[in-house]
Amino acid sequence: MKHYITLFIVAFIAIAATAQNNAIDSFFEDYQDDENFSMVYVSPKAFRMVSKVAEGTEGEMKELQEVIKDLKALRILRTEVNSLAKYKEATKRINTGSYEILLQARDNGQKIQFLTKDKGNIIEELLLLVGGENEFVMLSFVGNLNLDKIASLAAKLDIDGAEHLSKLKEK
Amino acid sequence: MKNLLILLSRVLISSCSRSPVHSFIDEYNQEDHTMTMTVPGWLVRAGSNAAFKDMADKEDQVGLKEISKSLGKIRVMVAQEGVVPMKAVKDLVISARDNKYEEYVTVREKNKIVNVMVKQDDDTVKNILVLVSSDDEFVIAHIDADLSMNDLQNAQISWNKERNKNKTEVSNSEKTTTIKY
Repeated sequence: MKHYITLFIVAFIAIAATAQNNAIDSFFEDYQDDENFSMVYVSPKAFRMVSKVAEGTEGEMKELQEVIKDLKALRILRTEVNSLAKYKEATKRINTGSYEILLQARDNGQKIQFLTKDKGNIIEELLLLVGGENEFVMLSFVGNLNLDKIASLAAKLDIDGAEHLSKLKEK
Repeated sequence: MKNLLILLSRVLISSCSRSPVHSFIDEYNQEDHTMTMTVPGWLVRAGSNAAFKDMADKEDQVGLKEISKSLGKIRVMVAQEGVVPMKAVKDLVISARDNKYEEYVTVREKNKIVNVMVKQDDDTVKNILVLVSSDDEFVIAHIDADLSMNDLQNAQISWNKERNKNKTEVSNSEKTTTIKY
């Protein structure tokens, strides 16, 4: 009987975790074709290729390799249309309670949330939600993440919405 | 015998079926407001020296030269006036996925979408497909390649060497200027 209970708990946790990822996936899927949204998706394979290419290099490329070698995927959704409503929808659909709040801030009427999911000392997912009257940004990084390195990557990314990542340095 | 015939017919069917990318280009390249260009591999390799010669950035020139050695045929089609509907582009992405192309990067800004898809054989890039689509304009570039990770690393290393060389030259010339003063 004890085994059944343990099995049930493990299965429940696994289902809950999958449901959580599905909520983020389905949010991206719902809006990735919406013309009001800008969207960026970088696949795990692309990260792997850039990381391999940058192996054994020096300088800036070495820094970049250090940052991306453990990254698996990056997705960004951004809109300026109904931004506050989209922020509310995102926080409602994604059970933010299952994440640990790394940083929560209000900046010029914008709500900013950095949420993380970790396993031991390793951060496996970083979810950034930004919502205000003018902008909604949802950014999801998956991989073994080093927050300092992610913040330095923000400076290299010339993508709308990614500039919010630099706030990680302030943490 | 029957099994042998079935096997033979399967092999023939698979060898005759064209890649969805080429079929797509063939379907639209006869339409008005389209321009198609095919550059054979030997010309890509031979022409790369001349093409990159006038590039202002020496570092990029060296890196691109290295990469061009592993490139094959390049096919490009540009279509305007909404000749290629967005739905057709979406269907192409799906067929490409079915043909072992993997999405590397997708960027969407308003009604403009850029897709970069790559077909790999282990760690070797065999084909690169770039799609740029909007309501009225569409560009497709399909590149045959035999680009291994080593090739890309070598290109990167050459790029770095050239960069360091440039830095050294700049710092030497600065020193000379200082001495003159």
